[in-house]
Amino acid sequence: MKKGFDEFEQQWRALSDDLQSGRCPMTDAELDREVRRVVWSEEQPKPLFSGQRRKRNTWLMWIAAAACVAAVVVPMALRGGDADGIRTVRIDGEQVLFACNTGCSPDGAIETFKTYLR
Amino acid sequence: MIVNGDSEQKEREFRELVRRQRDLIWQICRTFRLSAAWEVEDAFHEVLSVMWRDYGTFGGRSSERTWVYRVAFNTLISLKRRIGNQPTEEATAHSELATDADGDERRHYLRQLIDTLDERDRTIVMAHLHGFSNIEIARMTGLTAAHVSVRLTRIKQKLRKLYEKGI
Repeated sequence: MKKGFDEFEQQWRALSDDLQSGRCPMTDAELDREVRRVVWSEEQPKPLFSGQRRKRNTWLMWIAAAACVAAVVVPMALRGGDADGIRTVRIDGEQVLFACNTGCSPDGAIETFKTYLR
Repeated sequence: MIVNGDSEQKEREFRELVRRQRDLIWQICRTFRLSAAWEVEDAFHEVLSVMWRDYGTFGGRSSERTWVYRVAFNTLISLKRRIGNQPTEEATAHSELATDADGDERRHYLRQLIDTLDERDRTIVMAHLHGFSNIEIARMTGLTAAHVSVRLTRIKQKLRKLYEKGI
């Protein structure tokens, strides 16, 4: 037991000496270059991690989808109708949504409707 | 690239610190057994990167040596966890301490036993073996110096038992 203990202490000290004995083989110039490399790489913009890339792609997809919808809906709303002939007209001070799917001109249909009201 | 005076000053101070502590950083990097793809130089570069990133937090509250050790040790523990704990034969040959080269199997065995300790105990033992005082280890771990002393005694007793059983 005593022998084992002594040997353990001996190995313990030897291990400690080993751990503290290493010398960095780099010269001052090599070390300075390494520091510059580290500082330089910190200064550069970081590439996105795959998770961030995925998140970014999802956002881009949503933005693209929103842009497509806006490209179709906004002109329709501004025109006040679509190809089938939907118009918003004011008749006797009332805002009326006028839909026409009969194939005739929507403006012509509105005039017909106004005539009918009179 | 144009850098302002403060950045240049900071880099110059950091360079001086690295020059002063280069052996300690190298010793810690050499201690860790990373995978075959990681040479000591790669680990050294990784440690310097983290040191530079955290350099602003070093306000002189702890000694320079303690701060360097703590940053290097934590960086390498995280790195080892990230790349896995299975060193290849090649990696072992690269990063093994001089014990194997000397054919000293017993010291190598002791080192293996230390690697089986949990993270906190390993940190305490390795810092002690690297020559840090109990007060310095207390600052690194957030324990009291008295607690470190008690903990070290218990860890050594445990390691001695395992060592004697294995030899």
